[in-house]
Amino acid sequence: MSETFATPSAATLGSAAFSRGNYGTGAHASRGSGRGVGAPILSVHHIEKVFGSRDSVTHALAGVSFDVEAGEFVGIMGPSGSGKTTLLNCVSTIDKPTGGHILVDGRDITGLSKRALAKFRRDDLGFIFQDSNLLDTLTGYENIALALTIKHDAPSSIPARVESVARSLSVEGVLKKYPHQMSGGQRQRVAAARAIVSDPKLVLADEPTGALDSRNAQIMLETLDLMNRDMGATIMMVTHDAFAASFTNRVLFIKDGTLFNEIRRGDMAREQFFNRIMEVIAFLGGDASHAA
Amino acid sequence: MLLKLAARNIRRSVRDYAIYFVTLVFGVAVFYAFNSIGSQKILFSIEGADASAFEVTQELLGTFSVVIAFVLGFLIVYANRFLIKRRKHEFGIYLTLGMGPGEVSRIVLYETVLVGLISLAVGLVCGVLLSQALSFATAALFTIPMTHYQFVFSSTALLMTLLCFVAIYVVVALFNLLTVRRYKLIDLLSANVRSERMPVRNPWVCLAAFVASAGVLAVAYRLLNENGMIYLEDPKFAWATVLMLAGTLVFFWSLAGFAIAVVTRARGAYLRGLVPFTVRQIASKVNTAFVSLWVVCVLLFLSITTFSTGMGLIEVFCGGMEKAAPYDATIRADVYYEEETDLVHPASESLTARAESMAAEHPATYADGTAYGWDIEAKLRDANPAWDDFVKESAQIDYWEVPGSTYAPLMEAAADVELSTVLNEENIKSSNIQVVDVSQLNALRAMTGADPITLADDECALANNMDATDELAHAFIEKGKVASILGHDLRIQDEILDVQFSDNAMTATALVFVVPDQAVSELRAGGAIPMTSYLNLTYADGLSATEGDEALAEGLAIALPKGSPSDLETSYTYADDAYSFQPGLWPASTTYTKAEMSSQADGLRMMITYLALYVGFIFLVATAAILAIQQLSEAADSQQRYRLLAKLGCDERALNRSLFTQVLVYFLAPLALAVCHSACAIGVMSTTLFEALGVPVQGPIMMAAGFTLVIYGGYLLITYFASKGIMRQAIRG
Repeated sequence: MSETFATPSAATLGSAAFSRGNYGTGAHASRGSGRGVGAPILSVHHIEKVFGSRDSVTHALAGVSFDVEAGEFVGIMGPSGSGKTTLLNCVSTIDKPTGGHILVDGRDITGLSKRALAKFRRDDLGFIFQDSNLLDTLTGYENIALALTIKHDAPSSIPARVESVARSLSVEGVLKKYPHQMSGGQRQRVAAARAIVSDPKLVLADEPTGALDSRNAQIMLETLDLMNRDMGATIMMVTHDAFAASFTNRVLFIKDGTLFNEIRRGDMAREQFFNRIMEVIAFLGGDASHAA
Repeated sequence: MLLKLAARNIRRSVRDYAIYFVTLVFGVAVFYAFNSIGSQKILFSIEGADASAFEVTQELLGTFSVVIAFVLGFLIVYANRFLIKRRKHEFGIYLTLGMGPGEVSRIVLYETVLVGLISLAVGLVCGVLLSQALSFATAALFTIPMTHYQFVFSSTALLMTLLCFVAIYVVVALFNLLTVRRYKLIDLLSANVRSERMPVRNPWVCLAAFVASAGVLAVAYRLLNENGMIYLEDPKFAWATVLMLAGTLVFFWSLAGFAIAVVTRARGAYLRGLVPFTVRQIASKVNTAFVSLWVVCVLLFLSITTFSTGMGLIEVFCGGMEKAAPYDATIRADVYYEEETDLVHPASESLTARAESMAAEHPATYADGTAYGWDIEAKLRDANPAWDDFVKESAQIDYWEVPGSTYAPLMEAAADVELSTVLNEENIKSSNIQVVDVSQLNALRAMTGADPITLADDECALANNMDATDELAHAFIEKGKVASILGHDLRIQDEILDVQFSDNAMTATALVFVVPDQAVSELRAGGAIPMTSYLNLTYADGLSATEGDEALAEGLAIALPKGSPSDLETSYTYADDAYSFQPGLWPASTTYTKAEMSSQADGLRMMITYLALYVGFIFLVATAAILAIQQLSEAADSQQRYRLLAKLGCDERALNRSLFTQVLVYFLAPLALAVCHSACAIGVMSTTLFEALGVPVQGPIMMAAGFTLVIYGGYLLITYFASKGIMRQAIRG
């Protein structure tokens, strides 16, 4: 499928790269990376998104397909207008694709009703946005708890879970503060805590470091890495920053609405992976940030 | 070009403007309708005194319109400032596009003028229609027959409305120009990046402040209760007012912090669904807008209290007209009064003191009175031989003061009776006992077809029909048992005499003793003169009330010498208004007629009803509009939050519920406190005033509640649906 455009090195990736410990949630049955080993958590089949009227049609997505295995940390890269945000919106069910299917844990979400979609989002997805998007009227604690309360989880179970996640992501110090009393990095980590506290099947991150300075960006990426590695979160992150992408296990490159390339980190060191990503970007024609 | 832009702006922000616009239309319509009441009198076949009811009402409403105009002006300026502030970013874009500040100001000016003109036009049309409806309401409420319906248009009301609202719009326009001119481009462009800085208040301070405010309000309630709301110049009333205002302000300042501190402690209830979000939304709004909530609460309180007590006062003044004015007419003679107007009449020890003063000050009248034995009708019949042409029956009542006897011993016997606040214990104690002789009473009873009463020589009877003194009267009979009159102890009969001694605006017989004729003869023989005399008349058969009143006026004019206006003794002027004439002393100081009394009552009823409706309605609409505008802008400011919640997977029904709760709580918080205040004020007034006067207030309270429910509830629902529209746009857009 998507391997069509894979660079030679991608083939060298072994399944060993994904032999992770199964901490935290313990919800995911399979951690294998090879095709066919366990069901993928996310399966995107030929999705298309067409904007515009009859006269001027724009294909934002022209048949993109890929799978994300449980426990993976996948990056989506591509120049502006390549369709990566549309892709994320389709997966997050904020937007509807005009063609194709998206399966999450084996269930097709493209045909769900509005209410079922809302339920799907709150039960199965976690979101991290570029500008943390915390509710400014709520404290850090309440912002994290919100992901649980809107699922109508038992109130008595909430405090322990919020505190445990906050400790893991080192935001226990700002739980009583309001977003405007936190730093940008703290806000983003609280958002990450909100995304993962409800044990979602898939965490979607949209340029999570876009609004951070490089030091806070690094802390945030390490946080995501920790969520992925130690807490077993499956993460799909859209970014145009090669440095951010180098924290993932696999990067999908999108150009003009199609999957252009895919590289896997394998057992490469992060610097090495970063260089590979830069190579592909250069090949793609730039437009990605080189910040590191 | 700018005009077109302005028009398009208005059309685009119709939702923002809708409530503002509706409120303006209400304001204009009601303002016109109530000011046009004077013109409605042409619909009714009314003459003389009845027509003056319309004029007096019109005049009073006109005066109140000044207050109303200020309230509306405040509301309009406030709402407008709100709408303008919301558009900073838009103005910023105009300026960056190269528009001069003058042009931006002109756009705003055009918008203001357009909205003003349209609302004035629509409001006036509604107002004219409303005033027609008011005519029918007037006819129904006051049972005045409407002779011939015609379309009524009042140019005076039109002119007043135009003047008032044009003035308000000019102020608004100036205000807008000033606001827009002061803006700096940089502030305008960054206006959308609002850094939401919630005033974070220390929860302990809030808790303390909240408890303190509750305490202050409790003290205010107690002071009000002690004051009784009868003597408004009492410092207790001033203190109660100040404390109530201060307590209310602190209440709203600390409410959110207090509620958060309490609610967040209850984790089980708090961490459910959107509860934390809803609670924080309300709290942040209450925290930032506590001053407006305070104003709203106070206005609501005034509105509810005005309405319910106003309607209650109607009953105080106008209830029981039949009982208060049972005779076709009463001629009252003051006989003599001391020049000083001290309320406390000093108890007299001497039989002849008043007679001597009168003989010295007004010798002619004194001589005349004694010559006729103070018989008013004899004097008038002599002066006007045609007297019996229009008078069929008559009965005179003379009130006498018993020197040396005061109410003090009886008051002491009745010491455990809790006095109504309208009464002053010291005044009653120091007053001389008032008596009427039994023959005069029986003559009066005969005139109304009642059987005569009999008194033994050692007996007296107590006459009372005033509610405020009813308990005292019972206590006098049961505990006092005897009244000491001229040295004789007279046993008081068990039955209270329910009798009205003269026509009056209300039942006014208070603790008067009916005594054997012998006692009054002793007073006369000792050289005393009556306190006050009343001659009650029944008009000749075939005379209508109006014809009778006219005949009486003419008859008196013939009977009484025309004196110079400055001569109090001799000049008697009959006027349309019984209160505006020059009083003489004897035989006639003033007249009260049944027709006059009932038309005065109707006029008063109309005046108070309309005033209560007018003030109540405007205040209610103004407050509801302020809350509505604030909630709508809150919804607009929260679009981002709703979008996020939808993304996180909140379904729309949960969001709708949260929104409804927010609107509901925001509307109910000031209402709830206002209802508490009103309950206190109305409660106090009903124990001190309404109960004492035997007036039920449940009816008016229910009316006020219904009135509030419809208008306030209407605004609440409109606000909810409009906010929902804004939210849905945020989620789907």
